[in-house]
Amino acid sequence: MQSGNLRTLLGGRKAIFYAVLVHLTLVALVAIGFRWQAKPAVVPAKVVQAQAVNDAETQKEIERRKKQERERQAADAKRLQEQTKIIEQKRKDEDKRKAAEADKKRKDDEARQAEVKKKKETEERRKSAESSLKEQLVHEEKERTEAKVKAEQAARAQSELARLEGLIRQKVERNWVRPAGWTKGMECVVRVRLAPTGEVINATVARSSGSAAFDRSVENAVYKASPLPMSEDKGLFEHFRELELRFRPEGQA
Amino acid sequence: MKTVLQPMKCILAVLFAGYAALASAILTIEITQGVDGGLPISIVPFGGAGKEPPPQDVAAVIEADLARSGRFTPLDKKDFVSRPTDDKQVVFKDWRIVKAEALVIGSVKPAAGGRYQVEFRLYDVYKEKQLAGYSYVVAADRLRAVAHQISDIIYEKLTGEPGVFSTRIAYVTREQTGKRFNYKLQIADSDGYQPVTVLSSVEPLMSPAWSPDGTRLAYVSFEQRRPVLYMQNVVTGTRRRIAEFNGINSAPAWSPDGTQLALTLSRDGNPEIYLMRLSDNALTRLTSHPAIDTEPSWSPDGKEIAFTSDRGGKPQIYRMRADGSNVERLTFEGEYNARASYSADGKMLTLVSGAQGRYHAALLHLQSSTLQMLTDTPLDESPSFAPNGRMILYATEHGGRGVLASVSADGRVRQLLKLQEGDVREPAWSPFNRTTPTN
Amino acid sequence: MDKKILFSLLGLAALALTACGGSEATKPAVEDKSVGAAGADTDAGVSGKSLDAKADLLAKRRVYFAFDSSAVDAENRAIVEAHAAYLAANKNIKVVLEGHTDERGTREYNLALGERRAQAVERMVKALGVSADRVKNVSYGEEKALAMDHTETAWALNRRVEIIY
Repeated sequence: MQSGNLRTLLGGRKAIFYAVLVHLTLVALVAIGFRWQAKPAVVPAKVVQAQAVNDAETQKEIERRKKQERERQAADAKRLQEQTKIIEQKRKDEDKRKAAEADKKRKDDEARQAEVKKKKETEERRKSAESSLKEQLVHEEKERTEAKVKAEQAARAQSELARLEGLIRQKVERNWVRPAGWTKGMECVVRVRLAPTGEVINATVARSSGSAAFDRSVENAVYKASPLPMSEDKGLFEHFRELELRFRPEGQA
Repeated sequence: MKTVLQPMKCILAVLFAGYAALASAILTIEITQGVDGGLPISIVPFGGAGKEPPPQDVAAVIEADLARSGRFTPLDKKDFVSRPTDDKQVVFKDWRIVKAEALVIGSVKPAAGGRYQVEFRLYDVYKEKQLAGYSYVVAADRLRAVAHQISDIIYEKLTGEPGVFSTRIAYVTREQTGKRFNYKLQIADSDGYQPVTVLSSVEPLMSPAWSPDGTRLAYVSFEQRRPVLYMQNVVTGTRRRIAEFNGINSAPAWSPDGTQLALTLSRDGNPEIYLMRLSDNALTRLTSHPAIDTEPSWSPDGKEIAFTSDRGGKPQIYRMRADGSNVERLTFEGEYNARASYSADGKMLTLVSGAQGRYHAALLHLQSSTLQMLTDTPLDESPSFAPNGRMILYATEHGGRGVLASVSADGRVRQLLKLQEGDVREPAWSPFNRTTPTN
Repeated sequence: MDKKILFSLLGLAALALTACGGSEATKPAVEDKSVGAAGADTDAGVSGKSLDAKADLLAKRRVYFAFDSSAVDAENRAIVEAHAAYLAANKNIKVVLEGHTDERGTREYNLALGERRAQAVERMVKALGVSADRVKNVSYGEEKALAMDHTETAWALNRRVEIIY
């Protein structure tokens, strides 16, 4: 902004300088009588002749010449004015141009700055995004690890569940005396309620096989197998608190 | 990681609670295997002896009956924690320790007139519930009979099927004195005890067959120096000749309604199967084939007769309708199959099956046509079903002489019966008693 | 199985033949014409061998059989023929043919098998000119064993038809 002012000042001084110069030139011109027109100069009649000649003509001539001079001067002055105008105009234009240029520059600068700012902002956003992504990744990683741990725990719990199932099955099978004459296709379902120790609180026939002896053998198997193998884990026990045992004999009858 | 445990448990608990809630189905465990054996039962020696022990050990008779059936495994008395003889003395926990599923206690006390009061109770150990309890007053010579009755009650309560311990068996014995032989037709308890001789002869006796009402025995006697068919009332002892035609008169088989006998006669030149109506001795010939046709056995519904024929070259089992029509062959395995007799439910035949000179008692399952060997001893004969179809009585060799043995129908449990004098053969299991024994 | 029987029978036959007359293995029935009570002509001496053979055959009162068979083989056939001849010559004499089996198998089937064996001998005897009213057959099945062991030897001895006058 400051430089702009400076230019205006300088431009102003320049103008004065030029004006002065022009006037001096004009003065010089006037003094010297520089003919700048291409018109054939009116060759002044020899004054000698003139003198003797007619004063009226001469007077006329002189008037004419004075008028010319005046016109010329006026023209010059006009010209000077015009030139000054032009110069001023030029100067103005130049000023304008410069101002515009300055403006433009300013605007460019502003734009550039804005752009820079924008870039910076973008960068910052990116950076912050990146950092938040990083954060997120870290967070996700953490979650994944946690989930993995959970899954492992779940898998361990699942395998523990399966293991318990297997142990229960084996113990019940060891204690099941299958009555003679059982056939494939017979089925008896017993619903069992367990205490956390695995002890059988209650066992009732939910679906009879149709043979009282078979049903009884099944109930007895459950009671004889009590306490059933059980985990101390309360969560795991919940799974076994109420249990269904489906007796479906296989193997050689 | 230990610090993670606590939260881990919480997670687990939550997870499982969640899972359980989600699943809302009860965990089901499939049980397919078990032990194929007798029901574990504790029979406590009966109490109540007076100055002298009673002439029969009732608890021991019961234990032997139940074991012989193959359906029960009496537990070792050495492991008994207590020995109750009275209902008040029973502590069920003591029996859970030995994993008995059932408990039998009882007492035999002297009563007036030289008789005895016998009491027993049967319990379901895990349900802690009495299943049966009875009291009897009997003479000393009926103690075994009462024991068998108690065995029947226990058997029926725990298996749902009738017991056969109060039934009887008939058989032939041969004793040698010098060069002479003496044959006896005897009837004994289902365990071979307390034999009674119904006929004694110096000539062979064969093929005793019980009438469906259990009052008569038909049999073959050689007292006329040839095979002749007789029938005898086991209660009164009266007997008559049924068939004494030329040739062979043998292999009597009662129809299920007791009105006819199927038998083998060779009066027409070669052994064929006939029907004789007992009311008028009218004869109908059923087979007509130059081969040997013998050993008829009626199906329980009286519609069919299984028999032995060597029309195919070697003895095999065939079956025909009771009018002799529609003869079809039943056995295709083994070299020799003979003497078939039906089970009470009509689904099986027991027979003698031989291959490479070894003869076993066997079962033919009619629906599947599978032949199952019951024994592995090489000289077995005359298999006879118990009336509940769960045991088979047969003749075998043991210690150099003929003895009787029983085998459970699944082939698992085999037991020798009480040894009689001499050589024992030709067992026949009586039907269920129609009359209840009196005290 | 058949081969085994064949060989053992051949062996038996050989034995029997050597027992009969040493180097001269002859068929007594063909050669000898004098038929009398067993032993009646033995004192004559000259053709003693054949006479002894005949008597020996008659003295044999048992005809043996292969397992589960009622076929009369050559050696046993000789015995039957001897007795048939004897019967044909003594028309007042009656004979009972008793069929037996070894203990293997079922008693009733063995009763029938014993009868079949007795009938086989009976047919042979009748074919050789003996009238039906003089021949009877009966079966004892396995009920009257000669040898009580449970061995092949004992069993072979029990598979027989007894010729009983």
